Amino acid sequence: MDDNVEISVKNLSLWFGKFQALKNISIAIPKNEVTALIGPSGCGKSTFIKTLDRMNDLVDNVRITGEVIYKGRNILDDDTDVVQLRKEIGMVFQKPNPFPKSIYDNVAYGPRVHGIKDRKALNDIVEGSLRKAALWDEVSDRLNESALRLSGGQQQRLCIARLLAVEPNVLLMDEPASALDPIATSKIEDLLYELKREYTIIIVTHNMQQAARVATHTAFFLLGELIEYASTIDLFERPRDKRTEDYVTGKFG
Amino acid sequence: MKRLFPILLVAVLVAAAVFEAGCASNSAGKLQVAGSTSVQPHAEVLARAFQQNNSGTRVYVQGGGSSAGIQAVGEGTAAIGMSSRAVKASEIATYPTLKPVAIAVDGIAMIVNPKNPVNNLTMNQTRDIFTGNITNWNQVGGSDATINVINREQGSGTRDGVQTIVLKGGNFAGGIVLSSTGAIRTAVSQDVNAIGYISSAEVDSSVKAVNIDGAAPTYDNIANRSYKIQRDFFFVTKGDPSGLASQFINFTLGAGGQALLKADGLVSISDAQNASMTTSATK
Amino acid sequence: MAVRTLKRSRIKDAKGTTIELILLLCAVSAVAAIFLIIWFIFSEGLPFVLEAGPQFLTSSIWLPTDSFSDGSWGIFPILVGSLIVTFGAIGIGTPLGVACAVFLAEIAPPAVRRVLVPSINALAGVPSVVYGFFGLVVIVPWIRGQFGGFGTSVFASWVILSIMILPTIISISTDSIRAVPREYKEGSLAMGATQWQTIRSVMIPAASSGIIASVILGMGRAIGETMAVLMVAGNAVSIPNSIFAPVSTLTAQIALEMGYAAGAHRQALFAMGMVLFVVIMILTGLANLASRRRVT
Ligand SMILES: Nc1ncnc2c1ncn2[C@@H]1O[C@H](COP(=O)(O)OP(=O)(O)O)[C@@H](O)[C@H]1O
Ligand SMILES: [Mg+2]
Repeated sequence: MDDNVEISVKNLSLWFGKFQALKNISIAIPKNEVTALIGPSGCGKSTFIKTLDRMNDLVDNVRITGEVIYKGRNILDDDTDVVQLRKEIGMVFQKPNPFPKSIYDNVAYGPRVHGIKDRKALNDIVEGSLRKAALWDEVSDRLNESALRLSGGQQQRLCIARLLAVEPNVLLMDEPASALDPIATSKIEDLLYELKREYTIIIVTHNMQQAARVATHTAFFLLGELIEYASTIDLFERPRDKRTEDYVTGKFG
Repeated sequence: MKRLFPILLVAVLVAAAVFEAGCASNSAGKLQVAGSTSVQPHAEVLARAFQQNNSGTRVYVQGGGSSAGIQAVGEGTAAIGMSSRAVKASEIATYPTLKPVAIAVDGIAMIVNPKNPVNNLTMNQTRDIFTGNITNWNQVGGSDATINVINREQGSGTRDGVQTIVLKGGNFAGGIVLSSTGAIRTAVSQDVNAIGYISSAEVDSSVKAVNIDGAAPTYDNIANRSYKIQRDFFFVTKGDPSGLASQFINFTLGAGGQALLKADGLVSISDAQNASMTTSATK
Repeated sequence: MAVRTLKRSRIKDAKGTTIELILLLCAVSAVAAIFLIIWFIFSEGLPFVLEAGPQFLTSSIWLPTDSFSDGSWGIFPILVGSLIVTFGAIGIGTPLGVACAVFLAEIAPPAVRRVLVPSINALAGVPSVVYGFFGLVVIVPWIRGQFGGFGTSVFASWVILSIMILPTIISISTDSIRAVPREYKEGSLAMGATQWQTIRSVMIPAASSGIIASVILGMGRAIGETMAVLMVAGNAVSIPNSIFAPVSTLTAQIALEMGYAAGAHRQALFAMGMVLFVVIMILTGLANLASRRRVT
C-alpha cells in the first residue's frame, strides 16, 4: 500500500434499514493532508466520516459492506478494538460539545480515561493541547471555569484541544465551523493549517470557499455516491463530472 | 366566580354536619360503639346478633383504643365506649357522668413458642422478664437463649393491663413493640425465644400460654380469679344509658349476649366471682 | 366570510379571566392547605416543646402519659432511629437505583426497557402495607434465622425502605440520564473512552442534578414512610446497638400511639410531627445546597 495513504476505503456501502446512505465508495485519504468532503445536505458526508471511527455503531439497524483499511487492517471487522481506534481517529462535531465540566477537566478527560493520573503530566498535556488548539492564551487564567461559559468558537477549539490531548493520528471534523461566526471560523481554519503538519485531517464542509482554502484534496458526494475525488484545485477549476461542475459553480445545492 | 367559593364551602360544611349528625344519632336506629381494640371483635359479634334481633337497627363498632373510646363517649360522638380497663380518675374528672359497666372478664395470656420448654412462670418472674431483670430463658428453667420480649404499644389496654397487674406500675424495658394481637401471635409462633401477651380468648395452637403461679388461663381459673393476669371489659356510657344503647347493653348482659361472649372465649361476667360492683349501673 | 375586526372580544376576554381565576384559586387553595397543616402541627406541638424544653430532643426516656407531669418526654432515640433508618435506606437504595437507571437508560435493549419501565413505575404505586407485609413474612424471619434476635430490626427497615424508594430513584434518574445530550456521550466515545468510562465520567455527572433530586424524593419517602416501617422495625424506643436490633422512627411512633393518645401525650405526638417536619426541611435544604454546588 502507498506510504502516503492513511486510510483506504474500498467499495463501502451503508444502509440505515432499507435506505442506502452510502453507495460503493472507494477513496484513499492521504497522510498529513487536509481532505475536504463537500456535497449538498443529506448526501452522506457525516455518515461517511462516522464510519471511519465506527461511530455508526451507536445507531440501530445499520448494515455496512466493504472495507476501511487503516494501519493494514479492515477496521470494520468485528474484532477491531474500537476504543483504541477512536483514540487514534478522533472526531470533532458540528455543534461544539464540551462536557459540563471545567476547561481543565475537559482537556484532561481523554488522558484520564486512558490511564494518566500524574498531576504534573496532566498539567503538561492540558497546556500543550490548549496551545496547539490556539486557546491557551485565552483561557490560561481560568482553567477551572466551566467550559460552557466559553464562546462558541472557543468551545469548538476546546473540543479540538480535548481531542489532541489523546494524541490521535487522524482528525475527523464534521462541519466544525458551521455554527460559528466568520472570525471564529477563520481562527479554526488557521488552526487546521497548523495541525495538518502533524495530523491527517478529514473535514466535512458545505462551504466551498473553506474547502478551497484549507484542503489539498476534495471529494464531492451526491446522494450517497462519491462523484469525484481530486486535488482541490482540479476539482474546483477542472471538474471532470458535469454534476461536480454544477455544484461548485453554484447551479444547485 | 368570587361568590362561588363561599357557597361551595357552606355546602360542604352543611353536608359534613348532616353526615356527622346522622352517624352519632341513636334515635334513628343507629348506635355508635367505639374504643378498645381488645373488646372490639367481641362487640362486633354482639352487634351482629343484636341487629338480627332488632331489624332496622345498625350498630357501628369502631376501634381506636380504650382512651379514645372513653373520650368519644365523653364528647358525645359515641353512645357506648369500649374499654379494656377501669375508667381512670382523670377521665371521671373530665367527664363526671361516665358510667362503666363490666360485661365480661378477659385473661391476658403470656404466650411463648410451642417449642419453648418453659411451661410455668411466677408472677415475679414474669415481671422481671418485662422489666428487663431476667433476660435469659435459662434463668426461668428454659434453654440458654436471650428472651425476645414483645410488647404492645403505649396506650394499648392489654399493655396497660400487664403494666398494672404484672409490673405493678413499673416500666417495661427492652423488647420490640407490635401493634396488634395478631402480629404478636404470629411473631411468637415464628420465634422460639419470644414471649408476648394477648387476650386469652385469642390464644390458638400456634402459640403456648404458660401457667402463672401454677394457674393456666382457663375459663374456670379466670372465673374464680386464680389466674391473676385478667381484667374486666367495660361498656361506658355518659350518664345512664338510654334508648338503643340501653337495649344493647341489656342484650349484652343478658343470657344471649353472655353466651355469645363465652363462645367467643371470654368469661361471662355472671360466672365471675366478685364481679365488679359497677354492674349495678344497669337497670 | 365576514371581515374580522381587530376589536377585542368581550366574551373571549371574560373566558380568559375566568380560567385564570380558577387556576389562581386552585394554586391558592393548594398552598393554603399546606400552610394550614403546618400551622396546625406547630400550634399543637410548639407549646409542648416549649414546656418540655431541650430535653425533648436530648433525653432518651419516653414514657408518655395523659398528664404532662407524670410522663417522661425524651424522643432522642426515636429521632436517631428515624435518621439511621432513612440514611441507611438511601445508602442502599441510591447505588442500586442509579445502577438500574444506568442499565435502563444506556444498556437495556428497547424491548426490555418497554417492559421494565412501566413495571417499575407500577411498583411506586404499591401500597406500603404490602411492602410491610412482605417484610414481615419474608425479610424478618430470614434475618431472625441468619442473625438471631427479633428479626424486626434496623436492617429489616433498610431492606424494605430501600426497595420502596427504588422506583422513585430509578424512574427519575433514568429520565435524567436519558435527557443528557447525546453530544456528550458521542464526544466521550469519539475520544476512545469506553462505555463505562463514558457513563461514569460524563453521563452520571451530567445527570447529577436529576439523580440528586431523585434521592431527595426517595429520602422524603423513606423518612415519611410509616406503615411498612411500623411492621418491620420492632418499634423499640432505644438507640439500636446493632443493625439487627429493633428501632423506632418518628412516623411509626406517632402512628402507634396516636389512636390512644390524649392530653399531653397527644400534644407530644404533634411535637414529634413538628420535629419530623423540621428534620425533613433541613435535610431537603442540605441536599438542595449540595446539588447546587455540584452543577458548574
Ligand atoms: N440514523 C439514521 N437513520 C436513518 N437515516 C439516517 C440516519 N442518519 C442519517 N440518515 C440519512 O442518511 C442520509 C445521509 O445523512 P448524513 O450523512 O447526515 O448527510 P450529510 O452529513 O451529508 O448532510 C440522509 O438521507 C439521512 O436522512
Ligand atoms: Mg452532516
